[in-house]
Amino acid sequence: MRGDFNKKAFAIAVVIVLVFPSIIYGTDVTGKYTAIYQGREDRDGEKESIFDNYLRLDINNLFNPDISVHAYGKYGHGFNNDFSDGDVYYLYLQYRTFEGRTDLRLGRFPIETHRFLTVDGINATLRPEGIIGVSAFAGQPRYLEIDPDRFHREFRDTGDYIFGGKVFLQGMKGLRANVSYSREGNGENVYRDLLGAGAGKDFNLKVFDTDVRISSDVLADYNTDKSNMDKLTGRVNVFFDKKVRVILGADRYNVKEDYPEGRELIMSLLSTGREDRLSYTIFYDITENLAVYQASTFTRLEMPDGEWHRGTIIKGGINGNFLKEAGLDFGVGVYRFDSFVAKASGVTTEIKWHLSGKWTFEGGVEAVSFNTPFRDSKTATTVTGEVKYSPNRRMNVAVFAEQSDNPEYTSDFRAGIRVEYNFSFGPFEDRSTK
Amino acid sequence: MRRLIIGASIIAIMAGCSGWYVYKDPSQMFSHKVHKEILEDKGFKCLDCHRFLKLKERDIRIAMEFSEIGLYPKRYVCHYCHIEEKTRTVMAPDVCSTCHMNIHAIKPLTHVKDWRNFHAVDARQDKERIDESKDRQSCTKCHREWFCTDCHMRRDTIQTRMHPRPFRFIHSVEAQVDPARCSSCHITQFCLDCHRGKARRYN
Repeated sequence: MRGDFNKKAFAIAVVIVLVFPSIIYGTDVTGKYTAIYQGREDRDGEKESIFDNYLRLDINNLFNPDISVHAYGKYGHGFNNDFSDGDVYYLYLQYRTFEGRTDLRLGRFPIETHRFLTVDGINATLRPEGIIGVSAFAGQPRYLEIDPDRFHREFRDTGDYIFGGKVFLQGMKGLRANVSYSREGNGENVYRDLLGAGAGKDFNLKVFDTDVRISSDVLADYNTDKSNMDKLTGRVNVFFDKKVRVILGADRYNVKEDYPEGRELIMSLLSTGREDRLSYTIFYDITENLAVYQASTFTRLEMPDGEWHRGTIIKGGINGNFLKEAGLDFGVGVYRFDSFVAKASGVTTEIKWHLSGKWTFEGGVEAVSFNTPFRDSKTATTVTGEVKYSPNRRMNVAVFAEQSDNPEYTSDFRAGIRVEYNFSFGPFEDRSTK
Repeated sequence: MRRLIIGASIIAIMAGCSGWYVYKDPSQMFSHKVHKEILEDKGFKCLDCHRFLKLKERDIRIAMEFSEIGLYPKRYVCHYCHIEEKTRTVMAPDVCSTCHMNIHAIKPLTHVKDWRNFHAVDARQDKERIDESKDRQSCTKCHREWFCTDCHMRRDTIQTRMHPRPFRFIHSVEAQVDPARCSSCHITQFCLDCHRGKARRYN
């Protein structure tokens, strides 16, 4: 029922903008339409063909320069099962004054609180003169429904609520701070009740005649309902004269939540909710065209029996950027996942080659091997390729194909065509002169 | 056989087309013909973009650099019509690749390989205004909201976003190493549906 409403709301917004331009005189519209048709064949010989359409719209200057509507949605059709479906990823009315000093949103919108969420509701942000800004939001959280047929995907109507807000520091060069709060639950239960705080500072140093820039941030989330420190995070970015870039991260999770069945956090399913993680990435520009990187993540998880399990992810590789010389962009990498139950290693290659101003080839090969006593299949290889033609700066037409020799849940072979069109229409006048 | 045909086609296309490519920087991408009418309508004069500085510098290398600065407008002039929210001209494409053939050149320093694993902290610190003095460091300087939504909400793209293509084959290993990362996008139902035997035909 809710899905029907979403589809209708999105369709009405499109009709208003595209069919009745007189109603929206002075309004300008930008957007992108993407159509994808693909045929697939799985390892059992079963075939299906699907037609997907995506539309992104930014409707600005709606009666007033500060009022706009933003929408992003999908409509798809499966020919073999004669099934149609649509989603609205976001659709909201926005009132935003100069520099976002007042920013109001009404509708379905994405929001970054203690995690990335989609909310049906309202969000208000005020950035007045001075160093303090505030924001508040309230509404219903939305989670993507998963149907037995994955083609059918809609936002679930949970009947739950979420609200929260943030007070933050603004306009201080190289200095950040905020205090935030969010509560999610239904009429009877509180799923999560988090009080957060974050701070960050940037430094510039001179070390042995080398410019060193350091940007550091810390965040903490405290579950007031459970009297528990839910998450602690620290990040440090270090840039040595732009040639060497290092990102360091440390996280400690101790999640205690009361989400209903099926919506628990995955870490609650695979551990007691306690995880410690240390990670780093080092990126070094060997030359103007070549860079190497190495990234590692080290974790430990607490199991229900009290035992701690350790895990490691190690990645490395080389990236080449010869766009100026030959229109070529490529990467070669290796990785290894090492958990307490299994190990996996992989090698990946990717290439993007601008053959001319209009033609681009993009593709890659990825091979992984899996080492566990519980599985028969040990390796999987995937080859992908896409040739894109861009007749002008607004339009792309691409044909693509993918072949996997051991895809497990995904198809063996698929091929299709994609058309993208970036459009805009409206008055020529400069909005700043109105 | 299928792979052979695909591979041969790709090699044939690449071989046939190699040599057509000519790199252009943003100033070379500019077409006076395309911009003439709109710039005149807006009242722009030649000297608004081309300042023709008089140079006294005798070092030819420095003089050339300054000469280029004097001849071509800086990005603020282009972004006035193409990017800036309040002054943008509707018909002006706002896709970065319209002018920047090499996107790497305009990426922030933080966007190294594996940046996706670290980006959440920056996104949450609301750097939109706080960090505006650093330019290009705040998310919304370059990304619109659909960019976040596309990765976080869509599960049916043909492009690889977060995971490598054969990820399902090995996903259990990463899930056992770092389940907190999974929780950023997925809820438990996402795991249970597959593991309880629900078929997923699409993607």
